[in-house]
Amino acid sequence: MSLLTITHLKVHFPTQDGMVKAIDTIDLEIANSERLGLIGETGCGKTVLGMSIIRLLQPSTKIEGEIWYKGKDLLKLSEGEMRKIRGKEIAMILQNPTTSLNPVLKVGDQIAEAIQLHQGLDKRAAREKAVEMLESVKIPSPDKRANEYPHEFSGGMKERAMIAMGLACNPSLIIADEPTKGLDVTIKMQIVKLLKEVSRRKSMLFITHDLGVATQICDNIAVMYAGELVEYAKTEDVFKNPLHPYTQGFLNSLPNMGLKPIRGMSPSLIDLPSGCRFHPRCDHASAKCTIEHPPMVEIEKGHSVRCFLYT
Amino acid sequence: MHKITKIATYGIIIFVILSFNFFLPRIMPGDPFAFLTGDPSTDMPVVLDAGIKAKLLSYYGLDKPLSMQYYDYIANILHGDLGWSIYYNAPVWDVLRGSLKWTLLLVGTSTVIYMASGIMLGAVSAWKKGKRVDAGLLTFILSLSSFPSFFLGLLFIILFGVDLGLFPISGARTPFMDYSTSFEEIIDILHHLLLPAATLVIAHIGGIYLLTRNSMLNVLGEDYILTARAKGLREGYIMRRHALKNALLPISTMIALIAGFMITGTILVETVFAYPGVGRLLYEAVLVRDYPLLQGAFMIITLLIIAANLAADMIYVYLDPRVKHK
Ligand SMILES: Nc1ncnc2c1ncn2[C@@H]1O[C@H](COP(=O)(O)OP(=O)(O)O)[C@@H](O)[C@H]1O
Ligand SMILES: [Mg+2]
Repeated sequence: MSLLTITHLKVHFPTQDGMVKAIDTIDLEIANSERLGLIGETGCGKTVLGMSIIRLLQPSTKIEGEIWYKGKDLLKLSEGEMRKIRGKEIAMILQNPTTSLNPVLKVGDQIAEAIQLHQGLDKRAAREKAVEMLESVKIPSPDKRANEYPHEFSGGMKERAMIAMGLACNPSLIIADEPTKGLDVTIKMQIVKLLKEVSRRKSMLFITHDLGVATQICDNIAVMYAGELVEYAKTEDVFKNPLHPYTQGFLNSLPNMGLKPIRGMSPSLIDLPSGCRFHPRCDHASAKCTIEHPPMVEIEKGHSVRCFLYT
Repeated sequence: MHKITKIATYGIIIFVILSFNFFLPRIMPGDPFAFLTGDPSTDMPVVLDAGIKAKLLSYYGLDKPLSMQYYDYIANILHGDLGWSIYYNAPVWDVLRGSLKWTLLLVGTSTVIYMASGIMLGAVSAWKKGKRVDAGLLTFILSLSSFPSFFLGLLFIILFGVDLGLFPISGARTPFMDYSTSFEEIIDILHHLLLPAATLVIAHIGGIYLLTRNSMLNVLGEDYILTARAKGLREGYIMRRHALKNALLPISTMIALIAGFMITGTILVETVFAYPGVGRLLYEAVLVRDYPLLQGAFMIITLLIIAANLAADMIYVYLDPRVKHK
């Protein structure tokens, strides 16, 4: 059963320089208890996809398509109905915990306020629950830590606090946006372990540009390039049998695979390349690739790719 | 360590300002007795002859060399002695004390009102940025604030005081009035207070409104506001609890500047409404070159501003948990 179904989603930002086509077009499903990794270079639209699911993009954004969650199209809900979903049904753990925690409020209070709101607990009970949450993300002496401010937390601690905040109301879907970015290796591994643990029996959209981390957590992986998906497969298949030249390039750029960067730069989302969006950087590009936009095709069960090499 | 440097800084500031206080009036043309002797720089008739003037100068110590006068001045202040007002022929402190309470009442009430409403309206404006509420508030408050305060004061006097006869046009209370209850006295004082306070509020609300609006707009673009929204919190709650406290941080550092503007405003308003406060006293003291009174009034104002700064520092520490731990 799928928990979240995104169909024909387009997200465009009108700007002075033109329309930024941050998402164009995405179809994606997340099943119950599935942990789906979303990977891609910086600026390809991962955060925008997460934000459009919980509808936190600025009002001027042009959004088309449907996002079905438990029988409701989220894009059609009123703001009031949407507020009941945010934090309670779908939690988003935003990227960059240093700027995502409010510097003038106690960490415990920042966790407790969501609990108070969605679970109808009084202030004291909510605070106790907040301390429990801090404990569940393995923050030592949680009772004392709840009374501290974000600047008293280390980077890894802040990330844990963000996770505790996201999990506080026991959501069905967690969107975690680059939760391991900027952390050193040991801390990163701890966070990965924690996320794996807390997302058990939950669905998670795990956004990262770190494929290594994604493989440890995710059941499936969607590879995103310039506002669309270019490959979708089980995690092990992405590693053993990457089909799209971009996915292959991405793997080769990993530190333990030779650190070979993909040549060229990711395209401007205002003037997307004609045909296949990856063709200017692709070693296998043919004339067809420069003209025609390849469709997403399922090559074998559960493994789809957007590339003319396979059709 | 931090506290010691802070105290030292305040000490140095007070000393420098007190010195300014001493030298500034003496740089002005004329002297306290020009007013009484008919110096050509004033339009007063001759009342004193030169001999008496010399005696008076020596009586007040004004014939001593400047350095001696300065030494006496500082020494006296340290003893809590502000000197003798030449014009009122009374101790400066007594003259000041009478007007200080009125200034505190006027400045206190209007500051509380314009700060609270300016911050509130600025926050609402930022929240509803680009909408009709914001555009309306922006136009309304900025056009109100663009009136100079003395002009606004005169307008109020003519309109509400003279034409409509709704408010008294001068003083802080009705002279020679016997109040039967203290409630009646309070009403009379408020009645006198309303127009000058309203003038000060209108003259100063624009600055704080714009400051808050700007600061709030910056804060609303921060990531932690998104985090708050992602929790499903209501916008109004996010504004109050998550945004406002952060937005007030830069404002509390501007309090010194705001207090500075407040002095000019208060002198003008007290003069226009003949409100018996320190501002009007200062204005009078300048007219008659009453050095000791001038110095005393300046000193009081200086101390008030320094107190405002101290309050601002304390507010900042209260608002921002990050500074406590430094
Ligand atoms: N509010 C916005 N207005 C205009 N462009 C935006 C806005 N938000 C994001 N973008 C653009 O959309 C693209 C995707 O951004 P994002 O989803 O943050 O990338 P990432 O994959 O690194 O998370 C980027 O090119 C970014 O500049
Ligand atoms: Mg991102």
